[in-house]
Amino acid sequence: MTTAINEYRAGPKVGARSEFMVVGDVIPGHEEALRQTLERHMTGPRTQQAINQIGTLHEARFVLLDGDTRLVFASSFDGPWDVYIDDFATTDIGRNFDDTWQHVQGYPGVKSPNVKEWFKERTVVAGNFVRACPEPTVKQVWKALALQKAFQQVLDTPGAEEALQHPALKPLLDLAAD
Amino acid sequence: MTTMTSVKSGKGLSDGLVSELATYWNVLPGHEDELRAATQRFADVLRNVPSEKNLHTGLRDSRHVIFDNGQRLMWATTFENDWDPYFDDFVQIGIEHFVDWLQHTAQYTDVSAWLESSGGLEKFRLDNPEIESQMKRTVGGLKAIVQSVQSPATGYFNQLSAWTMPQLVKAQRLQETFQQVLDTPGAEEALQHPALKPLLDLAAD
Repeated sequence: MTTAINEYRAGPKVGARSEFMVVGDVIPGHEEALRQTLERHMTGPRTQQAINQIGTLHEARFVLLDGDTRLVFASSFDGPWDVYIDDFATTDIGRNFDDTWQHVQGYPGVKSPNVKEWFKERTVVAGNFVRACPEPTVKQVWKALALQKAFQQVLDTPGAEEALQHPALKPLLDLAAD
Repeated sequence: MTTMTSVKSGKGLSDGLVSELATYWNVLPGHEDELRAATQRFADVLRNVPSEKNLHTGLRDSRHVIFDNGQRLMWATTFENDWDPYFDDFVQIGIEHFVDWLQHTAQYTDVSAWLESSGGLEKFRLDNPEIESQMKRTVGGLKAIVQSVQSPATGYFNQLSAWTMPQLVKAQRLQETFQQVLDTPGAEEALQHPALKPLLDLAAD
């Protein structure tokens, strides 16, 4: 049951952002193929598109440990854990995920009904997770960056400075002066 | 496998402006609980560092994860400054906070030897008038120990890697101010000015 997994995953959370870490055993003989897959994804344009599509992933790293015999996946994401895993299955990143995790023992496939249970069994909850700067969700940051772009566009428009003199808009004018 | 190093990220990988550091330490037998408590204290110190200091250091996040039945510890961070200044600034948060948790790892033998050859904890106090030269002379030794237990990522992705934290903070401040403006009587009408159309369009979102 999803709720049970979320309760199990009661790891450190800062704001809307939670950490997630999984450790799996690489299938003997698959070490090089896994490394090549990870390196290919790192530079593949499809990866960034897929991450954008998810829109809740802050960052993720794959580390090959102990002579490439184990795979560590450590990430942080916005929102509930089960939605995060569901997003992997329903977006293009699921294909990348299957390409990677197929080299790990017992991986059932991202669309398998057992995938959450499989991750749950291999999850290690962090003792602490600290963000240096309070940061909203990825989607909120995107919104703020879009506003900043629009604001810059406005500031470059003739007549904008005068329009911003309106008392209701004064806080924006003050920021423009920064 | 040959490990590459770079000015930007040291031994780790980068995505845009952001680099990763993931280190793996062996927990001393019987020290798991003490280590857990010490890493928590370290996290509390980081949480209480003023945000301007964190912006200067370039630290984005940090986590400690004890795994393998309490036998291993992962300490992982991400950062946006170049590796050397990042590590130097980070150490100045207080070497005693690092030692607090490092003493519960098998690698502390090396750390302890480094500390002794560096003159001890006292020499790293920020009020030491010679702190700059002390750091320059000695911190490379600690960096080498940290890098000796670093396993560089084979894949690293950061969704907000194109922007620095100061840029993100600035954008967020604008967002908050804009929201405040939208809640002000008369703002909607004022935004009808043709020069402000891009803002009006966003207000409708």
